[in-house]
Amino acid sequence: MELEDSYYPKAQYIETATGNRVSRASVLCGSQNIVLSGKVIVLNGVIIRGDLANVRVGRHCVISSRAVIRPPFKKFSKGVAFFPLHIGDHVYIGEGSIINAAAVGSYVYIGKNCVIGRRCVLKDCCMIADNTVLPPETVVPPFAIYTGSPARQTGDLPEATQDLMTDYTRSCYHHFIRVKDLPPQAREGANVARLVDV
Amino acid sequence: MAHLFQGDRIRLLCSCGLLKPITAIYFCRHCLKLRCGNCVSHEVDTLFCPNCLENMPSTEARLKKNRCANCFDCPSCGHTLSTRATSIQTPSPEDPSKTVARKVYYLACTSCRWTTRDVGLKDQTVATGGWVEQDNEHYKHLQSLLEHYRSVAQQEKLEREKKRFSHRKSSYLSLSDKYSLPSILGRKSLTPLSPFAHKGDVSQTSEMTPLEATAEVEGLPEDIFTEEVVLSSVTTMEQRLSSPEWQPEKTADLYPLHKHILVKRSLRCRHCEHNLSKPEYNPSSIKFKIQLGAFYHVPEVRMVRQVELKTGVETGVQLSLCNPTPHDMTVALLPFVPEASEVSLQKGEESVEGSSLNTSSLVRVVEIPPERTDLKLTADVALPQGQLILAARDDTAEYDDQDSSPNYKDDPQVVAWRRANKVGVNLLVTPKPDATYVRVGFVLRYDYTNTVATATESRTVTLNIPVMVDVGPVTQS
Repeated sequence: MELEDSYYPKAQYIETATGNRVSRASVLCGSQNIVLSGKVIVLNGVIIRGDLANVRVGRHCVISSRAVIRPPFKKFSKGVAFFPLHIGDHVYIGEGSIINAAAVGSYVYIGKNCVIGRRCVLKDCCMIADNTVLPPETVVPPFAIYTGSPARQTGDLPEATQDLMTDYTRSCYHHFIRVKDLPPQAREGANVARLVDV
Repeated sequence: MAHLFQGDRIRLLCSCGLLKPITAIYFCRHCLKLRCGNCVSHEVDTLFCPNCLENMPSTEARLKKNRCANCFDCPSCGHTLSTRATSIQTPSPEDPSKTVARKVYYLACTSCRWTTRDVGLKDQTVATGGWVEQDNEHYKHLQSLLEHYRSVAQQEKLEREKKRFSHRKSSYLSLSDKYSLPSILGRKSLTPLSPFAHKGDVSQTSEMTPLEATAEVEGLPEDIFTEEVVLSSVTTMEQRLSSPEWQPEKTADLYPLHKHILVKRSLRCRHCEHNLSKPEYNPSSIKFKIQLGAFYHVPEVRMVRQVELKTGVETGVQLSLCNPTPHDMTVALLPFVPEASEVSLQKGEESVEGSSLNTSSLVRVVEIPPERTDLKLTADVALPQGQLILAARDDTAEYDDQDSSPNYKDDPQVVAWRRANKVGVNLLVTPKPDATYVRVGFVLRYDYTNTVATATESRTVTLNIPVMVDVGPVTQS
């Protein structure tokens, strides 16, 4: 099924020079530490904690609404230290997911309402199904599908995953269309971005 | 894959008769046929641990029973155990009066909070490699059984060699994997086994006394009915069966389990012995040395949007066709007759049987009987007539603002839109009277430009592939 067009009002999204489309209703703490590499879509309600450590997000990523991107910490004898979080290219993060991983590879699909534990490592081309909980320090190998809570490997992804994810995220970006203003019946609704006083 | 574009709604008919989505099918360039996971032979390429992502040679894996040496699983929940360190004060070896801080390590599960201290295991002084294996009381007996059967297998092999004088390579793989003998395929430098070499060593069988079966079982302990069961100290079946050698009944006997290793496999067409998919050696790498998926050679058909279907009402369904090859492709949609494809599968089976005896191969050529899948069509479809041309795939089209579509003259009723190497095609679907779910089939005819290295010039071949589309449920009007 090809993706449907989804519209966003010009006033509620910031479009940067590199093509990032960031919702004004998202919360980006420490924005000087957050690097969005280009053509990244950040929907409403997303919280990115750049104030704890550097966050780098690759090209053509899609971060769906209400996701939380938070760098992981490590406890030392003299307190805690936060580590940078790198997310690769062409990553899709589903709604409501909480990402505490140490590193997320490229071409990864993370479903809705997932909890990625702290210091997890997700390698390239893996998939985390909806509603899974990855306990801390899990390593997800390439082409694995993890489901359940605690997460177990339940399947394998096809070899063409890299091209499929590239096609999917590019298609998401292409179908995310700016309009001057949303039509009146779409203005009210749960998934419309609203300006939030932060 | 279904989570992305719902790709499992569109399935191709493989040469073995199964319907598979395009991502699960491979295209053999030499046979010019589709092969699916069911009709290719899978070979183990590399073995690696999913936690430390370290390669393991197959001989070492066999010794360690396909488990990683350094990584452990929690016996309670199955998650990976992580090593924690604490420092304790111990008297130093030189001077007993002074105490020195030393680091000791224990394993802890971050998911269910089980630790090795819960079962009373002592903390290790070494970070890795310190955990001792458990003793298995039947170990000696099992080892002697293995030795006995190895000598029996050797005997059988020698007898078979004496009978057969020609070197049939096809049986080597089966013999070497029987009772896990070292693989004969690796013995290229040694002299080939000849029937006359081992005449003197025939009588080497060790005698084994067979075990006696008794009907008597020792009785249950008397307090099993009176003693209170504390459920938290009894293991669940899953915990018990995850270590089948010991099968602990009490949670106090749970021991960390070594992690299972995973496999990277390479796929090979059974008919022409060419590789269809060969991954790289490095476990973290997602690249492939050889990648002949149908996704890269066969035009991809996708439904554009979900439509509402009513019985007897002719509804328009739009499909998008995408050309993955770097050449222009001519595509036509032809009607699909399920009975005709079954007949062609039968014919294909007979012709293959005749040719398989000529192949001398290391891989056992096992004939896969053609499957009978449900190819019932529940709707009539009006296909567009005539041929469509799909543009070649151009990776730079993303950066090019100019649209090159005016070059192709399209019939507006057939072609809904054209974008780079994709074309949207309109079909009319009429669900049959007693259909609850609409399934539509057609034959996709396209020309494939062969780029095999042996051919001097690239040849263009026309191929036909039956495609089944699950359009959707019929809403009762």
